[in-house]
Amino acid sequence: MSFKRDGDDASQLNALKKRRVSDLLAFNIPQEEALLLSNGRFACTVCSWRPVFDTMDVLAVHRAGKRHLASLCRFNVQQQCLREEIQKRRQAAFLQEDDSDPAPLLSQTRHRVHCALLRSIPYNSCCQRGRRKTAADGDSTSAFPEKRMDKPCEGPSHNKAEAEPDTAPLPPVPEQSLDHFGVSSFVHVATDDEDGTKSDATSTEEKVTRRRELEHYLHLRSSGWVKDKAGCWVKDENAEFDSDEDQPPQSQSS
Amino acid sequence: MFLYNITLQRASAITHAIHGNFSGTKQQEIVIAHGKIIELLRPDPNTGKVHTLLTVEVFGVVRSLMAFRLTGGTKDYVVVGTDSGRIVILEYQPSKNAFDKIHQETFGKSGCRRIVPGQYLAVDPKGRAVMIGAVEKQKLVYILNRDAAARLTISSPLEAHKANTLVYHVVGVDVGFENPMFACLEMDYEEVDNDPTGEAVANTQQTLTFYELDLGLNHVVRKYSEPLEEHGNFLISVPGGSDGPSGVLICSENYITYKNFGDQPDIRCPIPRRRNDLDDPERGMVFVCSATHKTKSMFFFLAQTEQGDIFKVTLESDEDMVIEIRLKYFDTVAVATAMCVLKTGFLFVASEFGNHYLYQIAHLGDNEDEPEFSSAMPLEEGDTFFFQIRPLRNLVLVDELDSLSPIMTCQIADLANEDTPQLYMACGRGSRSSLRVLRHGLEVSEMAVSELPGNPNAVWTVRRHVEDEFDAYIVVSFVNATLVLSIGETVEEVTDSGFLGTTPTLSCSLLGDDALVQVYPDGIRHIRADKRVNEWKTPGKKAIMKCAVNQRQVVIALTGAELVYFEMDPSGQLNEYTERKEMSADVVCMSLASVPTGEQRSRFLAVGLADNTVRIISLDPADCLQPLSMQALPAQPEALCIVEMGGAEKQDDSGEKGSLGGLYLNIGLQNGVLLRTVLDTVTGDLSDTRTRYLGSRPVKLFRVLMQGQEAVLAMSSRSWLSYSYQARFHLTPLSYETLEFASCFASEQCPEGIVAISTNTLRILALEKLGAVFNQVSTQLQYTPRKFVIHPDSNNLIVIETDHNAYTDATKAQRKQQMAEEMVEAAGEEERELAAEMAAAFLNESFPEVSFGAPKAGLGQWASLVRILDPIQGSTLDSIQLEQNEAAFSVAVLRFANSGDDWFVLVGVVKDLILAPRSVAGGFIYTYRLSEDADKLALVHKTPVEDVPGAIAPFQGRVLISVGKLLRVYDLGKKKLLRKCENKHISNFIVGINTIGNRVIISDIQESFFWVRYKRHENQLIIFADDTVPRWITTASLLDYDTVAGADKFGNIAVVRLPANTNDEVDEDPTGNKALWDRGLLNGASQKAEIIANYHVGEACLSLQKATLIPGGSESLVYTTLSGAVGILVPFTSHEVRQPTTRKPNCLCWKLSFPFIQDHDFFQHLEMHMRAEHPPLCGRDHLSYRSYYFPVKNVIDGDLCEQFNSMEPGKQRSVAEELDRTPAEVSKKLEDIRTRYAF
Repeated sequence: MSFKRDGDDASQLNALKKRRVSDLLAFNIPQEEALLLSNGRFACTVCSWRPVFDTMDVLAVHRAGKRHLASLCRFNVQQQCLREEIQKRRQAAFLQEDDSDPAPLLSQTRHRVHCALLRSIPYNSCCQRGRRKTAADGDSTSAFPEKRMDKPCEGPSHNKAEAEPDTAPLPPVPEQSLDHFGVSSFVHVATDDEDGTKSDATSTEEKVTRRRELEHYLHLRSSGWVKDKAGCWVKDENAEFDSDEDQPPQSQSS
Repeated sequence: MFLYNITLQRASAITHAIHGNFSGTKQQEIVIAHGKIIELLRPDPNTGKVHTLLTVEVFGVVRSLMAFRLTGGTKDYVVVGTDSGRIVILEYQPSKNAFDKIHQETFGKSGCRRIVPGQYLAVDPKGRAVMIGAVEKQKLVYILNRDAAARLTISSPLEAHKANTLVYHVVGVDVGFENPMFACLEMDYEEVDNDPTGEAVANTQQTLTFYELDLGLNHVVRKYSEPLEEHGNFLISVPGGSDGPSGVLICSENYITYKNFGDQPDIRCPIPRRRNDLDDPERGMVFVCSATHKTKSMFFFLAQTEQGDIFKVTLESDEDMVIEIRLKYFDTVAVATAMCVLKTGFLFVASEFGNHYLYQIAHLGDNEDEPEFSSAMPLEEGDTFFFQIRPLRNLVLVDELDSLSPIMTCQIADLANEDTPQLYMACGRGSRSSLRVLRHGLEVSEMAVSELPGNPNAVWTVRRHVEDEFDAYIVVSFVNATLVLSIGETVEEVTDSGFLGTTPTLSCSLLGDDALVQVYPDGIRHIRADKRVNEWKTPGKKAIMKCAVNQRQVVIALTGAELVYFEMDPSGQLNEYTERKEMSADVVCMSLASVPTGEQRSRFLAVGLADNTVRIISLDPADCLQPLSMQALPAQPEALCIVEMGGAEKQDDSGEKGSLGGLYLNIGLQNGVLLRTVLDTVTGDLSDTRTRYLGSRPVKLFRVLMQGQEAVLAMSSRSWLSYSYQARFHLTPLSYETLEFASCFASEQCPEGIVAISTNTLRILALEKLGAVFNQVSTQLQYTPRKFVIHPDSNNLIVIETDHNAYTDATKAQRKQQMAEEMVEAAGEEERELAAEMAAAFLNESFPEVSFGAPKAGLGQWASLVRILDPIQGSTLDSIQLEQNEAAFSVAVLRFANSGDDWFVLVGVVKDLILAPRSVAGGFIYTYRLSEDADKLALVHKTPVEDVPGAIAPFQGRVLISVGKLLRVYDLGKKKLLRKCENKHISNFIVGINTIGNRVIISDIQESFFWVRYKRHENQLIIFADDTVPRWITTASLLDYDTVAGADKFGNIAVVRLPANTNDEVDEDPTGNKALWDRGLLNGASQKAEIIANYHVGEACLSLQKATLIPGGSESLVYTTLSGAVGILVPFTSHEVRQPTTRKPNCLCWKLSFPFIQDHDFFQHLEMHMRAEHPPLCGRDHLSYRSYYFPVKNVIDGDLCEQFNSMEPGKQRSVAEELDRTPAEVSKKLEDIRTRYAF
């Protein structure tokens, strides 16, 4: 048996071509729209019911489906809201800060030069999602640029990280309920003071409180508390608690 | 990454031991096998010390070992059955100190297989044939004979196969000079196999089968087979022919039975049991090993039970018919794998676990008060005799061979603050377990310490006559006086020795046959045997600054760097050489070599000058006092010492010690460095310099004798001994305080010692354990130590000890009480009082469990304890006995984030564990709070868990605990530990947890590693990668963030690494429907680790640790094995470029500046050549041995490379030439890589 294609059936050829093209295009699925699972599969993060697919191809087929496209509309709207919200807040924060930075453009450039000169990301054993964020901080002023997946299961791409900020699965939640998405937003906020440009006392204090809140959030989360739909802390049924521990411990700041 | 394996200490567990006259002289020797090593020991009948003559690594598994002697021969050969599919016959060559392979016959595939022979060996006691058998089916008989030149010949094999037959033991029956006969314990399973109902199993009987080798027809027949009533476990051959009744003794559960051909009825005797034993009375008793002693007039057997009790077994016969078996309790020693009774009256006991012993047989057990048990005594079926255990009566311990086996776990740390880290090892099993602290260094036994009136400068020992065995005087020099002590029963001062006492001494020694010489600043004093004294005075105002003396020559350096040379003429007169020689700079030190046997003089004088040079000056009459060569030094020399080393241990056929070694010039520098240079014995050229830093003080050198060879004692801030042992140079520090001056010493009490001074004391020391790398300090433990942790603040150890089949102290006391009560109750009315007395005596008696063993409680009975130990003092600070049947499996010491600065000790305990079929009643995590001084444990609470808590590890202020196959995060609660998060997806059973950052590396008992990521914001543990190969992990160690090294129970070490593109940001399936089909490929993780290195060590490794063993050395991966070996895997710093084919000068410079760059390439080639030129002794292919389970990858075997030094010089040269180097360069490289990482 040969693997050579017999005959010149044009329709089959076209079908194959199409499949090949769709295979190639599959790699263009934005990282935030799919999730790599521990068993090597992919979940679609656009659809709210999070369907799981064995391979990239099937994910691509799903992405062409009607239901997904409907979800995508909703998703895009949400994303748009989120972006606008973020922009709004940045603007607010910017106005609040007055002109603490005499030359914002200059410092921005300086920062970019610094980033460009780094040969690799300085080693940090912490969570990588956060790390990429840190480097990306500089240019995420306007909107979130879309990062394409180069390879389905690519690991932390260190050298690209500076140039291409990664937005990873960031749930579309307004910033006031930061607690809902732990590390991602935590790092996002934290990076602002690494910038060194906004060193206002009040904002620093605010950041410290915020950080403490986040730390508290993580502490509660890791000690087995979960938030229910109403946003109240309830005990995770899989975790154990001391018998007198009915309420989650209060944050030190509150 | 490329690794190089170095063995620091070879395995010490003995699997087989045989004795015989292997060197062909009258001396009896013992050959032992340590799994993959064959070693030849010689117990010295005079001192009772066991000396190791030769150790050879065979790169194969030694499965059986037998001594074999041809009829009428005087020399024993060693027959070895291994996993090579070959039978190998070795002959020990005393002249070369090596085993020669005289025959190697291939019969099957390699590997330990069911039907490939190698497991059992039996020799015909008259030395005509040898049988080699497999566990199943195959048995081969080889006829051995001698040819016209009296060389051993071997026939082609004769088959004695029988299909579907399992073999339990094989011995050669002594039938005199009739056809050789072999007896086998066999079981035929053919019927059982074909019986579908399964009833046949119950009826199958073990048989005793005799195979006869018909020498006339040249074939083997299955002569006779007889079913046995009891299931036998081994056979003992009874002397036959003219020496005894022939036949075999079958050892089986509770009985020992004599069987023979013909009319001989079976004679059966029960095995006696200990009186009032705490053991489970239902348990049967078996003999585990035996030794036969045979002289012309009598023979007896020593048989040891599994409790360690030795019985002397004798047979009573009437006209060649055995009528009675007699057993008499002999003594109790450690349970042995093999025993050897030597003709010189020693009993060598190769212990199953722990140290091995050599006992002297002081009495043959003829004591009348000891009851004798006989088969003729009427006893009911199932009844047995009882005897009372007692301390040793017939045996006297004379020597002990240290054995670490089994090393259960090991940690390397500098807890004693000594710069060099110590190895803390939990060793041994049951009541013979110990915690040993190992330090690099030679153990020094202090024979005597005496104070002197002042601070002496120097000390020498002097013999009266060259033939004398022992020294006569100790001469001690002070600032302005000399003290002479005579050595006898006591050491006392004498004045009639002829030595000048009113002056300090520079040197003194025996001159010629019986004269003495004393060199002092103002002259030389020559004392003849008849006490005539000749004096040579220094001219004018000159004084003697330095001197060098040997048996016939004296060289002195006068003020002004003038050398004067004296030589003794045949009449015994000391004559000055006509010329003197002026040196260019001040003489700092001098040395003369010993006069070679049969020669008049030593031809070389080494002189160290103040201009940082050493010069070799000829003393040959042809060019006397002419300089021969010179070496520049990096610092000013402090001392010189020319010694003859290497090869002196070799002995020629007549037993005469030959000296084949070369001359070595040792140079001690003022900056604490020791140089060792080869001194060419013909030209006096200096070459091949090796350097070693010894300590912060200038290095002083002294020539001493060690096991009859010259060695150098080098003294800096620490004392070191440089000696040659088994064809390898050793430079080992002495584990002793700083010494100032030393000389060798021999007396009746201490035939080979050192006399040394330290401040104002004179010390007599002995170094007995030459060749040992470590000296050990041992602390006794109660049960088998399983794990221990180090409390970082106090450096105390927290040890968990657990034993299966054991009682706790409480249960033991309770059972004893119960037995005492029963004793009283069972007695009749009038015997009550007597019984009560006996019961009281029974309650009071206590035999140390170390020597008599702990009682065996039965299966499913566990005893454990938790102990806090100060490892430096060896004292137990606190110990907590757990309840009966609670077995401690894991321990950790940690702080919780929510509990401040308190330290907690967590002990994972399992309740009522039954091993097979496995069942568990549950487990607990005991949480103890450690007191401030870390010397007390206070129970906080006890957390129940469902399964065995196999591993505990601190993790981000909380704790990771494995419960069976579950991995959980626990936090400290008020009433118990609180489970916060769990992963259920590990395959079988978690044996180890290692953490780094947010990553957790889990070792599974069967499925290698799992990489788990803890996600804090989701409170989840997610497996993101695993390994592709099933490994039965025993221990693991993290090498870096992505790399982990693991050892498995089959004796492999592997290094695996996550690929660079591994993503640990994976998520758990968000749908939450964990259906069966919704797992990754074959239930594994989607990302897989890569294998970096694989290596088969050959012994199960139970600990792995990344550590630096010497101060200033590089890091290496240290492993310890169950058989007691310690080894390291060291990384090559880089792997680059092939070495140039021609050596050019510029290339040499480059090599000097980048000395390690070609290491990997060099060693890989050396290994390759060694495989071809020096194949392993027992016929197993080296490459296939190192690839036993997984193909060897990226690891070079240093053990094989180091055999380069023991190869014949011709082969050494050819291998070195292939590598484009000289043999000296090769062995220097071998030494370099060893000393860079370890010792």
